[in-house]
Amino acid sequence: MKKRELLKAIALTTGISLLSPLVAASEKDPVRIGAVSSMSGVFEQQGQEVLRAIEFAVEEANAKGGVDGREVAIEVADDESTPDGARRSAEKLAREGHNLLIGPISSSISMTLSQNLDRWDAMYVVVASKLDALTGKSCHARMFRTNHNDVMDLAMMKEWMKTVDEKKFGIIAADYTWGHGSTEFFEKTAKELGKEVKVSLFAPLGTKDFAPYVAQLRDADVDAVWVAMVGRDAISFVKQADSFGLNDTSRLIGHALIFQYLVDATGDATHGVWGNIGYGADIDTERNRQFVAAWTEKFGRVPTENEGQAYNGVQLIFEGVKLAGSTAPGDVAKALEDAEYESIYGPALMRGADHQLQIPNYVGEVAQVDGKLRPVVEKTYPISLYSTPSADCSI
Amino acid sequence: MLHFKYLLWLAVGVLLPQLVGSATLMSLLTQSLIYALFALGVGILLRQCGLVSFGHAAFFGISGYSVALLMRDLELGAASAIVLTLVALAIVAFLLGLVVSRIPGIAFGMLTLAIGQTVYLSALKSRETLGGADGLNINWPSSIFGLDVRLFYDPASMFVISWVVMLVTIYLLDRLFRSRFGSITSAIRDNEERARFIGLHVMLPKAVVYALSAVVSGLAGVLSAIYTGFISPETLHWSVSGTALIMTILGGVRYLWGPILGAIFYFFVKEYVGELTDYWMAMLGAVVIFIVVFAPNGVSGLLMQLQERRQKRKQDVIVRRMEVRS
Repeated sequence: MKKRELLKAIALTTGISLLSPLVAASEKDPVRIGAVSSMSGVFEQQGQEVLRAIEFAVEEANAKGGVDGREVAIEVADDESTPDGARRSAEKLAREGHNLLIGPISSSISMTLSQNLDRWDAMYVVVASKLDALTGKSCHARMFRTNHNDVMDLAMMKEWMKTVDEKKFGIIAADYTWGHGSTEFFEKTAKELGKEVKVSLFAPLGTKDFAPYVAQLRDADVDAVWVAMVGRDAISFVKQADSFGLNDTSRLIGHALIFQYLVDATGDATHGVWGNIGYGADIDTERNRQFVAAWTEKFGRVPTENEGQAYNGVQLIFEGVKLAGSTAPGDVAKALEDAEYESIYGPALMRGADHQLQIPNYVGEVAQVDGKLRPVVEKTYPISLYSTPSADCSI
Repeated sequence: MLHFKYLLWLAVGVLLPQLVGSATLMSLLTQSLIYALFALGVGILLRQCGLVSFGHAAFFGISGYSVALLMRDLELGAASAIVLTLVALAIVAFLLGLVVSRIPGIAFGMLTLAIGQTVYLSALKSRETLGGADGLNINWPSSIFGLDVRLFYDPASMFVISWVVMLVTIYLLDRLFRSRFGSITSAIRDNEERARFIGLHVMLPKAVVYALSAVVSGLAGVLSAIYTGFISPETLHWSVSGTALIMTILGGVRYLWGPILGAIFYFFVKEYVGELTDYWMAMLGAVVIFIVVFAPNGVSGLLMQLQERRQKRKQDVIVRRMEVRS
């Protein structure tokens, strides 16, 4: 009797231990994403778009049976649009295990996170910050960027400028780091291409009355205006430029300007405004068509630039988990170096030297599509325009 | 007796990280402690001079920038950069204090606000040296004051370090304010005219308190810069000064530990109420109004009042018993 029980016990244990690999396979560690973005503060608008797309990407992955046989779990936190707020909420998420971070908008927030990735044992995918230094001087082994950076945008805009007929230009830029950088670039490029910059204006952040600026631009009698402004200021400027009739005499060209939210906020003032586009629903690849179709089904409209870029960033995390066969941030980061995969932009390479995703870049125009104004991709520029990694970065 | 109390609090600070298991909670405590030191800086100015500053974020942020620049451009060691920064801050704040602390009441508040925002905008516009809106990464060497830099990154050990810094600061300030200097500044605060009549020099002591409060805020800024490894103009913004002021008012300034209690209270409300509702600021605002109206000495004042009342009741009981016996 006792012997039989013993045999039974042995059989049972062997059975369990034989079964256990199967059990383990279905109960692999989940992919834990920490989505940190602006739910309040200056970047709220973009933050909401980014978070919407991250959540969409996670739902979609789970509906398809997960990633690498794992469930995808997500926690969301508000960075209050400040580095200090981001540091707090990202640290909380990372320490609670949601250490595959994604989502902040501003470059200063991205810089803060990069300084802390080793401490929190986390990894971070940049989807919206454009500062060169993030994949240059301040690059980090655990930080990856899936959107275009300023150098890529400007290299493309320079190429595009060669095809532009206008000769006399005016500039209006936001009076802070980025606006000045953009102005310097444009002045230099215009000179190289034999064009003339007649007036460069800087508007302090938070300017509401643009009448004096518009008047100066109009008086300067320019063919086109290079606009490097952000957020609410950009909305005010575009509206006022329209009501003062600047658009009729001079074409507006936007550097990081023609976002869907700006188009929506300004009536038809942006109709015909050109600029660079980081992502557009019109991008003609198999994966993008699938993404746009699924998105349209759910939201009844095509994804915006910020939404597309954020979705693209989440796919990079998934790709890394698949390649590493692990969810540990260190392993995922290592596996992503020089990884090639099929993205919504087509074949993409995560360049190991600076962690900048190599994807094409776009110029487009705000136009009517199906009775609605939205930025439409008109020209695609290959990654070869920007082929050398920053010399300042050592990973 | 006094020293014994400090040793006891030291033991509490060292033991606390052993008791708190969660690194998230520990990090929250560490950050609230750093801000507590900042609030203490704002608090001593209010306590000793009755002056409300809306610009102390300038001292909090400048110290981080200064240490970063001294290490990057002059290649100084971390310890000398920190000491040099605090000494320079003391001198500049003293000179500034000689001018601004002459101005009473709301005008002083406005002036400090203006100075603070000037510093903020200068940092925002300095693209080459300070990185403008994108801020600066601070690369700390492998050891600071002979301590392994990893001790400063880990929430538990950083908590102990900040705790010790805070205790030492409170101890020194307490000694100073219990001395003749403390009595003089209190006298000036209560009635500047009368203080002048009895022959006291009123400007120097005020400027010294202003400098002290700047240095304490700067010390908090250094701790924050070490812990975060990053500094940006947002740290200098007036809203940061406002936060420190709210902490100070919440905690009360009659006791030196008031602002510290206020900072911890603030962080925990933000963390836990903030998780329940987006309107945590509105609720905190209601608490601030309640405190200003009904408990002008803050949470610390309330606590002490409760304790006094309990002691009084105990004494009453003893007295009554004695009466019964006789």
